[in-house]
Amino acid sequence: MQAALRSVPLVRRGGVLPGYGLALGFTVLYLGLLVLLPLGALVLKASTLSWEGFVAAVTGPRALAAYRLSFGASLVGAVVNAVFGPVVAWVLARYDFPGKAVLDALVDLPFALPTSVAGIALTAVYSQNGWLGQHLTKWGIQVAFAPAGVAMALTFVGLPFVVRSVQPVLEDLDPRLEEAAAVLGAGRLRTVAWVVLPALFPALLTGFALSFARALGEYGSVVFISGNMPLRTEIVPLLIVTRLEQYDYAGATAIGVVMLGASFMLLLAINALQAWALRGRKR
Amino acid sequence: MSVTVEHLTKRFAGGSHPAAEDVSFHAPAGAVTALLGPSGSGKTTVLRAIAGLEEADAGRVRIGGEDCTRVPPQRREVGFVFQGYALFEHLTVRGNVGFGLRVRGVARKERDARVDELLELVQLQGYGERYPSQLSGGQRQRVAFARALATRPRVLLLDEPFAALDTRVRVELRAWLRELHERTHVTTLLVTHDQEEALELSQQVVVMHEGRVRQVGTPLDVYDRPATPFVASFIGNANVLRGRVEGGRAALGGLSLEAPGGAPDGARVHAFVRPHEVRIARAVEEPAGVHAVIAALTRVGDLVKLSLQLASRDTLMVHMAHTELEALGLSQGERVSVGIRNARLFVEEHAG
Repeated sequence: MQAALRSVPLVRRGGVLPGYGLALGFTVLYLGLLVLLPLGALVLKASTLSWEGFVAAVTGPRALAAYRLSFGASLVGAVVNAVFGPVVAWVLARYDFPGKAVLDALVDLPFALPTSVAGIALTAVYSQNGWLGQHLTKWGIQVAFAPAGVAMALTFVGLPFVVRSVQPVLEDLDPRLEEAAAVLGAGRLRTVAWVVLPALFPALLTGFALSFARALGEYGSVVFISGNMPLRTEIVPLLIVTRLEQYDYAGATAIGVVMLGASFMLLLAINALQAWALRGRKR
Repeated sequence: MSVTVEHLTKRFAGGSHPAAEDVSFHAPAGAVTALLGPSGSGKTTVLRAIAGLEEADAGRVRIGGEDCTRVPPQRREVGFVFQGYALFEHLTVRGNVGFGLRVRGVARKERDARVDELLELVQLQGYGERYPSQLSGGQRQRVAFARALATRPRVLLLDEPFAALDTRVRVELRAWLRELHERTHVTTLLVTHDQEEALELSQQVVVMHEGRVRQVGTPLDVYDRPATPFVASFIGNANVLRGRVEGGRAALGGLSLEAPGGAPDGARVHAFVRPHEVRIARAVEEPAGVHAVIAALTRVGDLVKLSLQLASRDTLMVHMAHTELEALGLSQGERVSVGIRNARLFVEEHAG
């Protein structure tokens, strides 16, 4: 009896909830099936091309222009969101006002709305006879069927990512930190720049990365507002679809592989930056 | 520099009574003044008003004679140590301590020298490059002190500075703070709910209750001569005995004490008796005295806590040295004779 009792370890290593092996095994299998397998197939399909064929497919002028627009407009969208998203998050986290719940729900709309609907709406507003577009046209500014429109659509789809990353951190931010800065002599601007923003920075980076990644893959909202002119307003996802419609499967996957590699490298770099920003801090 | 608070009143939206009501006191320059009271007594509100973090509804705050009621916190030149430290987690210890100097545009070299000076003062040399999360609670608290002192504030304001620490560290830091004050002599206001902390660290105690000041005095004053029943019961342990004035003396559960001056016969009184102000002897040696039974006896280190049951069914807590009890040779259940060395009596308000 005593021997039997003794054979049961009283303290389990790794906390009261066991299952490290099981959980990790499941995670690897799950990610493998859901993410790695299709991506592997993508690379495999692209490898049916010869090296010369691959290079030609991914470095044609049309492809290069599409990369430039996709990465450029996504970057613009993510930067715009990284600047204005925190302002929205600040208002939602810090103030109480009538209609706050409505505003809060509005932020999530780009998540929920089919993005093609957003594309149609944006096009209606900004096209040459749309009610904003007609005025902008007078000033010589073209939004619809121009790169500006693409950036606009990508900003729209990325907004909730920044707001929802930053908002909880702002809500948890100890107001005494701002008071401490004030007593030490810091005015509002300096308190924001030296105390609030550094505290938000890691969350802001996360939001920026998510917004950027979402924009890179966005398709639905852009195809309406961009006009899809090759070399001018054609984004990479659309170029891939075009290639597929021409039964050029290998060419389409080759461009896909380039996007995959570039996105992965960018996200990795942002994660590294975040680890640096969090140095010394408990998480 | 001295701090004077005059008729300060602050009401928060939704609060049933004001957080602070007509609070007035003077904290002399170079001394430690403790604001002592239970939670919700308004002491932190008063401290925050002195720092400018709370705007008073009425009343004034003077620092060194200068009226700064409307001066923003940035220009009050005070140091504030927050409950729970409020350190900047993204900055190193050096960055935290030097924050106020950086705001004031002090050149890097001069700033570094001053930070080093402060790290030495708080005994954290060599910790400058660490982040707050890499420090223990006591170390974090000392960083908070150094940060508050770096700009040579006119007044140091401490909001429950040791509340988040465990007892041993708290006692250590208390001794350290005494030493720190002896070296800097900066006028200090200390908010605390811990009477021991207040009595040990301060030269003046302001006792607050329900937003009002109940007594201002030296630690000895508030302990030995409490001005109100609240102060008597809040500071130190006290037995409360109730009774009436009869023939110029207060009769309290068989015990007789001198009645407070001017109390008429029949007036209700209650007496506050400190546990160490009760004298006991073996009952057989004083057969004529007031007798009680030792109902319980607890030894805490070298102190013994006795619970005596009087004939009137009142309970009397008594503290005495263990050696003293041994000399008497008493144990639980025995009869003793009771005497009161010292007590503080209050005539009860007729309204109640």
